[in-house]
Amino acid sequence: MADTRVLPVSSVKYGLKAETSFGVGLDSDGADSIAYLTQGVVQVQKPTFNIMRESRLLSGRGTVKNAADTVTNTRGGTVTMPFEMLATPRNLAQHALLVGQENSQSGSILHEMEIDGSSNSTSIGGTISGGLPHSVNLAYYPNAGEGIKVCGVVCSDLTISGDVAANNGMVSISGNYFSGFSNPVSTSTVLEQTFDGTWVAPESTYFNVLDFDTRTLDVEGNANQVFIMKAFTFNIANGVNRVGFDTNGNAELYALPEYTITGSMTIKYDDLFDYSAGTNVIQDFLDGDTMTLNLICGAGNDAEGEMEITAEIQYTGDPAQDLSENGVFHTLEFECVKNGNDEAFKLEVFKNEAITSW
Amino acid sequence: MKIKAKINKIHRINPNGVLCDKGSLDKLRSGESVDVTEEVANELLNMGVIEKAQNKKSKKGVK
Repeated sequence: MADTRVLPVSSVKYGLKAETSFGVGLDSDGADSIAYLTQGVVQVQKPTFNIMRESRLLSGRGTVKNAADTVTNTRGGTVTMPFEMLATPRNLAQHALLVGQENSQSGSILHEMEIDGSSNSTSIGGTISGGLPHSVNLAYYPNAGEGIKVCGVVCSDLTISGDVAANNGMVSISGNYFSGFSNPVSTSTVLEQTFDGTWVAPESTYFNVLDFDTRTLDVEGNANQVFIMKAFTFNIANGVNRVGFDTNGNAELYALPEYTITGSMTIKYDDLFDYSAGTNVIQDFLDGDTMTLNLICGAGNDAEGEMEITAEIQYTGDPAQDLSENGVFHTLEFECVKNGNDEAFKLEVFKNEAITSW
Repeated sequence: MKIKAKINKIHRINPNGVLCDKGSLDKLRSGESVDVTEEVANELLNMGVIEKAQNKKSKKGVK
């Protein structure tokens, strides 16, 4: 008789915990008792093992491939997993760190991640000190004895977006996890794992687009003009690649050759952002101008639910229009660039926790 | 511990996600000071949405 068991989608959870040694399981002795930080996703996607498999039709085998002629190799592969969830203070700061590999902390505690062409790690694989570089154990857990632990996990890309018309205006993050530890061994990535630690619940403080009290952008040399925003999105990618093979065939290091940040914003057409002399967004595109963009959620950066994005942007296309009942809006596509001493992109998030506790 | 809210920040708190009881949270949102346990106060302090309330000095003996 067939089995009647059902696994509800919502019964599956996944969590992250910062590694102290690159690609090494934090608890590799029997059941994993680590207190993973549960991520607040609605539907968890499974990690995907991208390994090498080759099947050949050899001479003398006739007209169909033979079972004996298949080669699979779990060494040298990757493991990837997509994610999407509402941004909270901890998960935003941690995922920014996982993709940007840079963090500085001030006060109690404002996390800053900037991409400036020189501060971000170009490789991961050496000693981890104070949570940097930042890689995590990822625990995917449908049930006891059915879990998958992936080690050496970073983010290959991260999208931060907010839209007054989506998710009640709450800011969300999405992207992909990446690992070069595709060969299951007891001390690293492993299958059929039980996770019996007390997992830390997701946070319940969010960021809301309606809380973005400061929204300024340069236009044709007029600095810090205030705009009315409908939506924004930033995409950060680090081009991560696995390099080398340890004794298990897992990655010796990851190379992070280029950080790219692109994005778009939908802002209202008005006297400060129009097609007239001095405030012409099209002219900014045609001239290849670099503008400073500043978005601050909340009055400052000293409480949960507050964050600040500062970016130097150049339009990548002719500003398009978003036609709605509220009138004409501009849809500005841009990329972030380093401009003199100003970093291409900077994200500040308040979360009163050191990264070593993640 | 006696605490009071930072009015422009407390609205972000989800009442279901913190230790503070709903009644105290309502009072905090309306600007009142409330007396809560150390554990509750510390959580909200770490979140940056409240501050310790200053006890009013007694005017006893002053005429």
